Amino acid sequence: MKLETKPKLEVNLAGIKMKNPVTVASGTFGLQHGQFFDLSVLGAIVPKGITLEPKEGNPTPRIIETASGMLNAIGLQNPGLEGFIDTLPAYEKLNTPIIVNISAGSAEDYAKLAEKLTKTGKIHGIEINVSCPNVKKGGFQFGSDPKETENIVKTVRKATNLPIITKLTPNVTDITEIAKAAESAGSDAISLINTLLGTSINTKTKKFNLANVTGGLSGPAVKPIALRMVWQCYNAVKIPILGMGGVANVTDVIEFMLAGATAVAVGTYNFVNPKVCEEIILGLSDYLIENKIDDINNLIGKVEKV
Amino acid sequence: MLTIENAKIVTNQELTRDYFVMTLNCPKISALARPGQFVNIHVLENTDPLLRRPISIYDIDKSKGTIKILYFIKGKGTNILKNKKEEEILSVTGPHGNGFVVHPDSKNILLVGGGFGTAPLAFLAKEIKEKNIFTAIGGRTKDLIFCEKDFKDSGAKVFISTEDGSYGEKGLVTENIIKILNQNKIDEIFTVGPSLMMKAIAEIAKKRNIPCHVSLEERMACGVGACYGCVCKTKKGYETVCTQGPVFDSGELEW
Ligand SMILES: Cc1cc2nc3c(=O)[nH]c(=O)nc-3n(C[C@H](O)[C@H](O)[C@H](O)COP(=O)(O)OP(=O)(O)OC[C@H]3O[C@@H](n4cnc5c(N)ncnc54)[C@H](O)[C@@H]3O)c2cc1C
Ligand SMILES: Cc1cc2nc3c(=O)[nH]c(=O)nc-3n(C[C@H](O)[C@H](O)[C@H](O)COP(=O)(O)O)c2cc1C
Ligand code: FES
Repeated sequence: MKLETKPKLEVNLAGIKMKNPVTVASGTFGLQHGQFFDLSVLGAIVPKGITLEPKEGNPTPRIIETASGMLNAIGLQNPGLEGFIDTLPAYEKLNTPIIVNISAGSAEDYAKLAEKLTKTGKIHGIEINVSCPNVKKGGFQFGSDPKETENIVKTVRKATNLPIITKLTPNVTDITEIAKAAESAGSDAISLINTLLGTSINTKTKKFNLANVTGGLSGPAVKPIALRMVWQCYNAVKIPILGMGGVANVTDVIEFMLAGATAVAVGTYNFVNPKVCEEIILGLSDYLIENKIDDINNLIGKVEKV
Repeated sequence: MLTIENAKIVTNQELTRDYFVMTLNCPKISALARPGQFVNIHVLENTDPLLRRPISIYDIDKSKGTIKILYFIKGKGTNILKNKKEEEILSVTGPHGNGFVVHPDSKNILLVGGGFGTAPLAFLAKEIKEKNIFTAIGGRTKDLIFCEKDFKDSGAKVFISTEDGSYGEKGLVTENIIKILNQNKIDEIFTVGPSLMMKAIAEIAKKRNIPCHVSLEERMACGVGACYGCVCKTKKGYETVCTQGPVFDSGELEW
């Protein structure tokens, strides 16, 4: 059988209409990447995580390469809500949904961020980061506690009608517990995984490689863990999943979708190949045509046991 | 404006032990590059090593569409780079960074280089030939003095010092600097090299009230100002070395 029409790439992530399932992971991508390809091809765009007030971030060194991955301890350096809002017109021009990643030290501040962002009328979804391993206040101390997660999501829920995506940390014993807590509190979707807590030591100086001592591991090295967690969550909750962790090519995107992701974000690999998202989006169509699949949604969660 | 190119290796030659010069065919980057900027090289179509390696641009030949880099064999990535053969392809992005900006009114320019740091300065000298250029190059031994000929071809007066005295003056590059500054009115200083050297130069410049520009190195991930991985501390807070640098006014830095 030959496909007559172009395969369907559109997906709907909890009400966020994406022209294809490919987006970017917060903190790994910026408008600057528009120098390498036309960012309007993205299914959605997720800017670097923001906080209410500007944040200086952690001392340096903040990053270190590891085997097929890297550790980062940026500490959420960002220009704050107002600073971010100034950049919104540039994001709007891209004609693709804008999902804003937010962090805070209290449920109230998460809600304030959500409310103010919603009022701009310019964004399409809110990703609640309760999973950053590099900040003392907030971060994954929230996301590793189902009660805290529930409380934050509930508070944000009251502050916005926009789709809420709760971003989960992999640094927990049972991620499905947190996923369920987010779902029951009214989250419209979940995204996973944030980075895995790790460290690295310089044997010459006998010092840690990161000033923050620990950092978050990302990149191809974490993909099998991310994939396993997406599959576990797919079986535990009904809300859609934005999958991420080590995605580097078309095959990785398909794997995440088969495991249950409705959309997939590329993170660290943007550093390796700043055009990778465009290449993946082009490659997805080819994959679907070759495999005679007329709608990419038919892949979601369709993995089978051997 | 940044661009990404599959660059063919034209030459890859050992200069001296552990230092190599590579010529790459990347016409778009070559057309845009200015002194003090750098390229980000993916050494292997593989995930280990994962990240690109930042290397300064040493020279360009716009007519041939090539750039030259001078690199030191440090670890995993540069060890792979040194074994690359002519005709092989590397993914290169660039030109990254702000580059050197020479004030139009400055007539007498002092360039101070150490190690591979002399390479971007040689490119600068070539672009500001009409100025009166003084160059001080320092190194441990004679074979670690780079780019002397490039500077001379650009009409620069070259002062060399080696720590073991095997070439030029015996001693540190800073001793030569003081001599140059005592005998000439220098309007601006540009320095690239080990951070201790740059700090010493910045200190001397400050005492004499001469603007001093240094080029910093930080571990990088995105190279485009998006990840805040490469920041350095300045009076204005953390700034990205990859886009707001690598060249900074030494007076602005908190280092
Ligand atoms: C703006 C800039 C310009 C540079 N120009 C040159 C040049 O012209 N010639 C040259 O030989 N070297 C230059 N360097 C240093 C060069 O990037 C490192 O020596 C190189 O990345 C080492 O890689 P490796 O895999 O061999 O070493 P490894 O130590 O195995 O690298 C591990 C990680 O650390 C990073 N890293 C290691 N050393 C440095 C360093 N000094 N600065 C930044 N990141 C580092 C690597 O990029 C990699 O991510 C420059 C660095 C910067 C930031
Ligand atoms: C340098 C860097 C900065 C990051 N910043 C954020 C952030 O601000 N907010 C957030 O939710 N996740 C952040 N992350 C996590 C990523 O969005 C993503 O969840 C993680 O890196 C896994 O995907 P990857 O392996 O494709 O990078 C960051 C990751 C990296 C590497
Ligand atoms: S390397 Fe990402 S901001 Fe400089």
